[in-house]
Amino acid sequence: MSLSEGGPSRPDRSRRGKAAGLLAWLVASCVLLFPLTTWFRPVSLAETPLDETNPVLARQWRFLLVAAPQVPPGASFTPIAQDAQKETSLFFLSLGLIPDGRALPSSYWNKPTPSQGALAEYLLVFGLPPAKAPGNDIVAIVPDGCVLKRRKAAP
Amino acid sequence: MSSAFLFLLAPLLLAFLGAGAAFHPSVRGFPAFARLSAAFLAGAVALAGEATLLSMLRVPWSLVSLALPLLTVSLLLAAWWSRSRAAATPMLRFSPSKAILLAASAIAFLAFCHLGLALATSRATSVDYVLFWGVKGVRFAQARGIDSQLLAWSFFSHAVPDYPPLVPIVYAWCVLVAGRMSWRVGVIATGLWLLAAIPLVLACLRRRLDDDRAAVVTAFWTAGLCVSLAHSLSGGGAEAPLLMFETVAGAALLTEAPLDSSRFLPALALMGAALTKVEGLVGAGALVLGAFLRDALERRERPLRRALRLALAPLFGVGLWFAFQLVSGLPVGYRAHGMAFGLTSAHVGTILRELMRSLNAGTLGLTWMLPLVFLLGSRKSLRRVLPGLVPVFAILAFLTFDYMHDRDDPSLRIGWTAPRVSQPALSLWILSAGLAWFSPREDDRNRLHGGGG
Repeated sequence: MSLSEGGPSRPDRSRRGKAAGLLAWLVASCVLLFPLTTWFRPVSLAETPLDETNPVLARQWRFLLVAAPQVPPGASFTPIAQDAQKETSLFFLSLGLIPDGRALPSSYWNKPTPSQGALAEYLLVFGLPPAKAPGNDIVAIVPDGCVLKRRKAAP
Repeated sequence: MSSAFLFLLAPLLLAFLGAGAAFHPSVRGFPAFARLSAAFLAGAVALAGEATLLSMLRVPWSLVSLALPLLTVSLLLAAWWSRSRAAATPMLRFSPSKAILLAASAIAFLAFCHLGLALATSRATSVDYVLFWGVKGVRFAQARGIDSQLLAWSFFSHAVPDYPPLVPIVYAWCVLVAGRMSWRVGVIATGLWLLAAIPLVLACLRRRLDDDRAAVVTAFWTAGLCVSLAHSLSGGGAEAPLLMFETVAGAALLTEAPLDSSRFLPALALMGAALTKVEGLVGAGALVLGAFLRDALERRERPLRRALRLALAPLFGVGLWFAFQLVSGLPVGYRAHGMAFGLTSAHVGTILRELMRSLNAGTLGLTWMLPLVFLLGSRKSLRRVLPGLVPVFAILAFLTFDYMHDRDDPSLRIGWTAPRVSQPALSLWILSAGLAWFSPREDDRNRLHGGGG
């Protein structure tokens, strides 16, 4: 193998080239890790899958979790809230959180669907006092709401 | 044993269901962890296919009805393939220099800590997980099959009933193993898909690069994708599985030998992509096209025939899902976002601007820009990384095309979806840059071997 006059040999150049390439990629990889600095503060495990992503839905999630045991398996229920948007998201979440019950929407895609909600035996009332849904039996008062059972109409 | 622990264990059991794949001649030469990952990938695809088939035949799902046939088939295939003499030569022991091994491992470890913390603290949860991916999993497990009545219910239209079934089936499997849905663990388990991809990415890269180079490219890939998955709120959604399938397919195609006859692994991964998300079919098509173009330009053997054979796998996957829809009386096919060419040109500027902004990947766009620098520095090698580059541009073009169907300003939808759905493109972008930058060029190779330049 011939060496060029006074300069590094080809294998040397090749080795240096390789080392520079490796270093470039390693440095670039380290640069990508700068978001780790966001963890330089105390962290806690999530109570719900939505605590940090969507606190509004997380609150609804917590409500449904404590309300769920009040709905007997196979019974129909509908979420009730101040507005159609909340009723819609509560209905969406309840499909996964209360799979043993039969969910019926009082609102869907942010539009009221009272004819569906009226068929439900249980009302999961979120963010409202029981007095806002009169004519029903109180099954349980839970954080952020209550569970009511619809009174059967007198024959 | 707690149900949360069992829920985390359940996806790992997929490796047993797909264990036969680890003995395929084209996979047998890989190191143990890569073979385990291939088994996991095959298990997920096989479970999705089998569970869809059982639902079509109205056979109720149970741990036995799902696991027993797959374990039997796996065992038979393992025995059959073990006898094959066509196995690839086993890879040499992975032996990068100590400094590189230490640095690359530290980078990957820190990146995983970031993703793990983001998932565990719910900072990275996809709302789609609680609105439909997880919901379908719970309901399918309860119904002991793909619940066609639920999918047809008019008050379930928010849950995109036409989406392919792999992810809900995997969740249903976890529910059946654990006895109940563990919503928080479901989010954390997202990391498993990325973790499973790493040994296969590394093994594929080592087919073309020396161990040092393969290690640093894998480290960059891991760092970039961990940060991106956390940033794009992909926890619990279908993004991580799709990312694994398309990455493995891309890595295998990018590094296959010109005369390699087996495309078993990429075919399996492409079927998985088609069964995971609607856009998985687009990615699969683009990967096949990229491989065809590379093969044709490099005058490899029978490029069209090999591409068409590869395309059969995702077509079979999506065909199975459409067959289920047909048998169950559901609308067949994917719901379009409007007329195919009913495009609105008024928002093109907004779309391009917002799309560029969405390629942030949690690193101010550096995960895209740094590989671009490496690609620009290795222009002579671009032809050989076409299987990776074609899908990148195809996926971004498809997203632009999709957003052009919005009559109103699509900025919100782009900001919400593009960071997630562009991740397979990002993954292939990084792998292409690594291979283009580090692969010995033809003239270098000729010089090294004493050939004319």
